[in-house]
Amino acid sequence: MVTVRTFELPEPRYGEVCRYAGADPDDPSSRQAVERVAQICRGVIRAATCSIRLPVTLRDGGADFPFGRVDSRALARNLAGCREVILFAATVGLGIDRLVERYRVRELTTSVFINALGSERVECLCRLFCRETEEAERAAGRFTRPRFSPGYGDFPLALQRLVLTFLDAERKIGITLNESLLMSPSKSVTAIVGVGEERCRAALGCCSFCDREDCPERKAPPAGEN
Amino acid sequence: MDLRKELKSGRLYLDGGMGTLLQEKGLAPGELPERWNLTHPDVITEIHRAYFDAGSHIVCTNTFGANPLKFGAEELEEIVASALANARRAAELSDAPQKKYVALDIGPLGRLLKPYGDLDFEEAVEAFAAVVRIGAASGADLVMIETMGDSYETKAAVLAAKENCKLPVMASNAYGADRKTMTGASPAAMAVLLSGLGVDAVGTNCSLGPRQLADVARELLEYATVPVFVKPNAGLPTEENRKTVFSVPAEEFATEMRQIAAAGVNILGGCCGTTPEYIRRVVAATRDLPLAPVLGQGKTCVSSYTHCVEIGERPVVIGERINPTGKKRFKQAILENDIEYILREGLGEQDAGAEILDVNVGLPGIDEAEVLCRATEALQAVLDLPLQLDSSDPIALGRAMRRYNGKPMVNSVNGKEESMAAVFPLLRRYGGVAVALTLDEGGIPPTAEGRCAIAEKILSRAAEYGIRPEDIVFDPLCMAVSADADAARTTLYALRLIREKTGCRTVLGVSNVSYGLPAREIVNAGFLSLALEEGLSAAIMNPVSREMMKSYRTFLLLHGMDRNCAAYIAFAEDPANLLPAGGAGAGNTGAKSTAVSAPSADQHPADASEEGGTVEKLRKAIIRGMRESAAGLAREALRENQPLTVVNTGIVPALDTVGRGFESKSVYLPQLLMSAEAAKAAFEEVRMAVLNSGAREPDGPAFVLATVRGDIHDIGKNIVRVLLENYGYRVIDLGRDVPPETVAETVVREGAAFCGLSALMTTTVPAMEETVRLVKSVAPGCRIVVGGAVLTADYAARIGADKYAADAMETVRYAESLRA
Repeated sequence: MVTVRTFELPEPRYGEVCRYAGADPDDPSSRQAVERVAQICRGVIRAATCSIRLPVTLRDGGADFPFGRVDSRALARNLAGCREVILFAATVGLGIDRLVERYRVRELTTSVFINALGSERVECLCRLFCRETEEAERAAGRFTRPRFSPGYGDFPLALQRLVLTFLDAERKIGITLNESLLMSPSKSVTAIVGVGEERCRAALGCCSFCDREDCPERKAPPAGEN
Repeated sequence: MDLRKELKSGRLYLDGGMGTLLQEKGLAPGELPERWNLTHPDVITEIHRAYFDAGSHIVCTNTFGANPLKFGAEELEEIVASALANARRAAELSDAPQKKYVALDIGPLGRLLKPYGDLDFEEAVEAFAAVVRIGAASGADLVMIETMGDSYETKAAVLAAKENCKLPVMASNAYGADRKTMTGASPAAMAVLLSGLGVDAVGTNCSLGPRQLADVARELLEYATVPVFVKPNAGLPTEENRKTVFSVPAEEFATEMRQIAAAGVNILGGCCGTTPEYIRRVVAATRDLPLAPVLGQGKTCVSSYTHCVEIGERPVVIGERINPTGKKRFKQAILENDIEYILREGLGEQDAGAEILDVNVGLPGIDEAEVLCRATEALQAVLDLPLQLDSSDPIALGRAMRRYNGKPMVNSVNGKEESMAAVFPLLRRYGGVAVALTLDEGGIPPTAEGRCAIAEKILSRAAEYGIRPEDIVFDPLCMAVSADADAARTTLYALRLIREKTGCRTVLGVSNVSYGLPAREIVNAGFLSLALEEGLSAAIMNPVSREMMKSYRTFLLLHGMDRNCAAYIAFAEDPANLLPAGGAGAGNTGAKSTAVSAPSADQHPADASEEGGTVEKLRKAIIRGMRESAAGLAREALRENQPLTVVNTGIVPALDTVGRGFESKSVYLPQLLMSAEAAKAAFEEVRMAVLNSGAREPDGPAFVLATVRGDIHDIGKNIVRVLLENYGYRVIDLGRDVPPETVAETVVREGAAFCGLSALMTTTVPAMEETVRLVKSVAPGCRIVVGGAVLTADYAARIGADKYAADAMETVRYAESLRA
């Protein structure tokens, strides 16, 4: 059964918004800009997820799910030891996209910050969802893996369509896919969270499972969620 | 009684959930339920029969997701035809005594329409039309459009139904807990849109249980001019012992539905989680209730994709600034396809308090229909005000009304037979509220009685087309008092007479009265006050005019139409609104934005005592990103210097300084943008100066920009655009999701020296390759610059691009290096 949840998000992470905006976090005008766009966007964020628990069968170089067969070594490494996954989609709604477009006309800088805030918000939503999922699984004696999305490493982006259809994401939380596999609203994410009986022994960052050493966005394993 | 009459005046029961029942019968997650029409026809027929037996008058075919975007043509035809056959068989098998109808069920296509998705409106209409044609040919009794989350897609589906069959049409939207659809429409907006399109019933289904949908139903009842139907879910689903259980049991559901029926909803059913048992109980709980009349008659409403504006007792401001008449800069913008200029005007009017925007782009020598459509689509992408589509060309009006996302105001129709014959069919087809001018073949009557007589003639003719009086707003016209001393008095009397005799609302273009007089604003503001006292319902005026808004705001205040005096206080507390006429931004309200004021560097504006001449101060203002100061300093500098001097010694050097800082990473992106915006503001002053002097603007090299087909990321491209414009390039921005052919044609047509392409997805990079190849084949001399997060210099070279630019400044530097 697909479960739909709505969320109240905590306050934005200032540093993260600056990073997405390409802004200097030590510049006072950056803080003003972030505070301003946070206020502009306050009423338009509709944070929602839809998710489903599924069995997974791991094999050499990939994993098989009820929605399809996925050839991805990176995914298989991420899910090592798992027999189930939680497949989810998350969005903060179309309001951000509308505001980006509106402010683009007269205040391009503000538009850039709104776009950055939107990225931070959907990441925040995913973190919140994953943390609550992790806590629920721990209570049942299980452990979760870092979330892994279509497009990470060699996990084909083309799976996006199957994932969203499986979740009935359009009807549940209003996410559609265009012909280029771009989601609308643009601040939307789909991901797989592996669930296993043992704590994952590899580094906990999702980038650990990816082969692209030269990726400019490659993250070091986090010290811990906050 | 035929079905249309039954929908209008009868108690009808719809069916309940299908998907949840199919899941119980083994439909797997991700499996397409529509295929069960072919593989499990007996199961489908049995479910339909159970609903008929439970008391449903109308069952919906199992075709929710059946459309050409999900199925091939042959399979689609098979599915829809068999779905109808399965439902028909159920009607034959059921012994239930009530009349039984089969609705062709149509759900969303699964792709979002432009501008936030990639599906064109007409593509959506055609996709729905394909389903309607099959369903009508296969014997459907009506069309049920349901679970729509987007008003635009709903309109596409309704038009497809009405243009491809003669069956009754019911249309229903899904609302969230905030009582809005996924794309932000209120129930009032949907009721107004759908009633205007001529559906036979408007409703809500899915997402929520009956208690949560009761408020949605009440709002639909208040604004719909057709019957309302409700099909709630059985509450929220939870998992118990690996089974899905819904939170609202059948008995409770029926009790809640009885309350909804008592509130005035005559057509009832259920959605996800409901079963034949739910319907049986709803029938038992509600069949003794009296029927309710349709409530929403008598309101004059227009809508955008989010909300509706009622033209009622409280007068409404219609912004008039999107109109090229008498405005050189505006005319230039239209001729240059500078839609951004129109958008800025629209946003400014919204900030100043306009509730509806008039959109007029009529100019000789342009394709008015094309420009009006583009302007309409662009405006509704950035603001959510209802629009008044203004054209004397019925073709332009018709095309814009079709593409408009809501129920528009239509300016105008008049008492001439030719005008009514052209405009009334458009209103009937697309919905709208028409501004009706009280003139006819005999001209404008000199008396109020004469104008009132024309109003009555227009009403009578409109009724022949099925157009309600509420959808006509009369403009009694006003001549200039400088030419006719009685002009204003005649119009004021006509306002009262028309209101009393017809009961209709009135509208007036307020500024004509002062033509030929000095200090026109004062006359207009005084006339506005008098007209409002005579019951004027809507004023087409300049909302940015302080004098006009003073009259408007004080009228509302003094007539008790301003709750807690809040709007007046906000207006009065904005110092710009109380400055003497001719103060900063002469005539402008400087109206407060509804958002927090931009904390731009203008909080520390350029000190008048700063060292250096005006041009030096202008450079500093641009470097600091002080947009308003830059504009003021540019105006000042232009008094003493030639425009080109201001550009070459003031603006460009400042940009170069900031650009170098960005490249050396001592300046961050937001600062670069703020400087670019300040430079743009200064440039706008230069353009105005050149325009007013009658000189021609020097033409910089043409630079075509586009985000490639399939990609809708455009922030990077927009930054490039601003910078290029500041460096004097003539930028033709094609927007996003641009086909390769369009880019190539534009490069050739404009003789573009440069072409910039952006792609941010690995899936859209092939489109970039195709675009580069095509452009090079038709314009080998054009230099192509590519950019985007997924690209590299190697890849750019491989696909034949001339340059890979990692950021916006690199694009500018490259172009400048070749220009020199």
